[in-house]
Amino acid sequence: MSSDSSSSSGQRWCICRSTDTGRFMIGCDKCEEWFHGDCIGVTPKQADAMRNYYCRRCLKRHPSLRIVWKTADPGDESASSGPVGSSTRQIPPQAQQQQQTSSSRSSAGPPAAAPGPQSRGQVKQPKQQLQRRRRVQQQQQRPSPSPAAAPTSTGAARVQISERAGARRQCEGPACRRVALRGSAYCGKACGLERAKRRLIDLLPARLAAWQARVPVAERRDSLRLSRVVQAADAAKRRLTDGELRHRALDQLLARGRRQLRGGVTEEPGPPGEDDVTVPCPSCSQETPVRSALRHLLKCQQRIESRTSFGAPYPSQMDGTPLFCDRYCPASRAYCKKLAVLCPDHYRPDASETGDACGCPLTDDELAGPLCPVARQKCTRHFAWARMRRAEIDIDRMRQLMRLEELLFEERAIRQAMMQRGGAVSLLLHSTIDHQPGFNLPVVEAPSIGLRVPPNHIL
Amino acid sequence: MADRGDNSGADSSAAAPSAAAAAAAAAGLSSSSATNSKPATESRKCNYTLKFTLVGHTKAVSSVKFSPNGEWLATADKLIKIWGAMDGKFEKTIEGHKLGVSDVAWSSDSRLLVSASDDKCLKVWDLATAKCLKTLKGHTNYVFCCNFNPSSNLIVSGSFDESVKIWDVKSGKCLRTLPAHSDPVTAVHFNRDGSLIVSSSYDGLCRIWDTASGQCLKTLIDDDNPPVSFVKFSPNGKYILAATLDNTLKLWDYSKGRCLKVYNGHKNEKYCIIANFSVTGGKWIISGSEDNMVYIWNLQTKEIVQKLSGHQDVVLCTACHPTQNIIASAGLENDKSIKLWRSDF
Repeated sequence: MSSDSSSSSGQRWCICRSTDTGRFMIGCDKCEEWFHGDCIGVTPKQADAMRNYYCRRCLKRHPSLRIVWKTADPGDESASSGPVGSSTRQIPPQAQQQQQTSSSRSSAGPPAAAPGPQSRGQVKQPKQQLQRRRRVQQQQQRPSPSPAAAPTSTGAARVQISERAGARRQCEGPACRRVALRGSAYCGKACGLERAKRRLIDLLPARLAAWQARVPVAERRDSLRLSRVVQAADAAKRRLTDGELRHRALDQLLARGRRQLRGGVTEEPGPPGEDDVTVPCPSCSQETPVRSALRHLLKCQQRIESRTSFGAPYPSQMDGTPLFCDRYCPASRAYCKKLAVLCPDHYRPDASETGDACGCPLTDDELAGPLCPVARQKCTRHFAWARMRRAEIDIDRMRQLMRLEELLFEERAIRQAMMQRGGAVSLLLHSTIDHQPGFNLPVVEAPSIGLRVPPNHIL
Repeated sequence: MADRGDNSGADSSAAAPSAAAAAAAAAGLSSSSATNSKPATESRKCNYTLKFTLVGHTKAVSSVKFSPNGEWLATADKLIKIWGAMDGKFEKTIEGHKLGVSDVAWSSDSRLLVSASDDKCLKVWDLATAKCLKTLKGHTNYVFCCNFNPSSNLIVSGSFDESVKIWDVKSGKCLRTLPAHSDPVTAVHFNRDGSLIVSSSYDGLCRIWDTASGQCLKTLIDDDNPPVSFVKFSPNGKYILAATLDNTLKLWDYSKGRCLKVYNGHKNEKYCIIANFSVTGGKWIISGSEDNMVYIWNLQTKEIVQKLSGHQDVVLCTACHPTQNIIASAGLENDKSIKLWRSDF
């Protein structure tokens, strides 16, 4: 932007760097640079009203400078200071109102009609011209709206013109010759309703037929997804019932133990040297001798678990074996929602579990194989084996329940999307014109089920 | 590959200099395909034909974007409308802004949308429920452009208040405000790993920022400084495509600060027209134009390979499908329709 650059035809001025000096120009009193009035948004009238003018660069570089006007004119937009403090920066309110109809990207255009950018104040002039030009164009050029939106758009254009012209028009109701009301296209409500009804009869069946003729890809994809979700939900339900069966099998195993083994045998001492082996406890990192390891581990875990409580204000309703503890705690007014078999505070060994002997199956054959005969209190190898097994089964059941809930949520979302597709209103408002009917779209692979869990991290 | 030493008249694009070869890799081609199949793909032209016209917007369409998973097309005027990307069937409308929407962007998992509006705020939407999850307030003037980062935990936005803001998606808070430019910011874009942001403005500058620290790493400026109306990173993150309001598109190597390619022939003096890299088939540059056509250039040879006509008004925004050779284009006030074009290459 230095004024040293000069071409053979003359010196270059203004932010557009052209040699054209034929148009109205105004000079900055600080840097002696000259600007075209239409490049920076200053009319000759405004220039007359200024005592001195400083260009935008000088105003920025020297904050003490101010453009001084001959008479204080509050109606003059360029005199009002915008949010940044410089005089030419504020977008005048008229331009802002015009923005309401469409976004700034599609209506603003750049700041200046000529290739000189900078000040935002320049936005107002070319934009207003743009708006006026476009509206005039619309009036003259009314006819080429897209065929699908034909009735509504021409109707709207006609209403606008009638308002502007002020002339009374004929009512647009079908076969109606009366005069339309002011500000309306119809003579009364009946005509309007009748026209709307005819429009529906005219448009809707064709649109519905077009919609159904070619099922949207999204619909196909959703129905595939839905069937997969339903299948997965069924699988989860089956595993839940399997859990029940496993509980029953465990009950039978325990019953067999009680039947076959009477009294408890004292435990035989283990192989020599076993007493010295220790394992570290994962909860408290103590070295525990192997013989009492299991007992210690359970105690440790329960100790840590009992520090936190986990409840909900309603009891759970489960089919089959109870899963959750559900003990009501009056202090917190909640039902304990820990797993029943592992709850540190509320677990009581069931009466039917107790027997004199340990009863843990010693081989893989659980139906007929040998069971551990050692007295239950004394057996250190199979400490609390039945309880651990129940816990394992219950954890699996819990997992299936959670998966079921997620799948249910996803199924609901898919069904909702399918239901809302192709509604009458959206069919009327939108249309897709197929320029090559008969062209087969490539088959789209339905994506694998992603869990459409609500984005919890945002909510 | 043609022999470099062969200087007979049988010249094809195979004898391209190394800088152009690097530029051909700009669009993210792997190096092996660049050396082997480059001549064949570049000499072929694309044959985009009009497949669908989507009607339904009531105002000028300011932004069209395909979702990263290729299923949806989002278009915005004051309402955001979602259409099926393959067949153009209308899906749903998302509404909530008080004024027009200038830009809309998808998150990488195609579940979230962010929209930048003239009511000075951005809104984050959940696609499945069409609900507004967060409203990002903080700008003091029209918000013009917005984008997610590749891991979709940040949103960057540029506004007429000359600043660029980085927002956290989870909390909706503004993490950083960059005093980026001295004129309205027209485009913001993350690079492929989200570590850099490029921003452009009417003041003629393209600036590259470090996301983590907010420092300006580089400023790109040409000999004269026409207002830059659009800028974005190439898919491999090495190059920047900048559109200026003097009917020019330029491809810059920003690490060297050099302009590698210049694309001309279209008309762009008023609007912030969006340009795209098309990498699904041949390597093209696609841009709308103020003469109502969509221009397609060969990325390497810079020649116009196709001009798509059919719109009745300025084509402001275009978008390329992530996996198929589909272009979506939308027109302004006189047109208001979105057109889907398909090609074989």
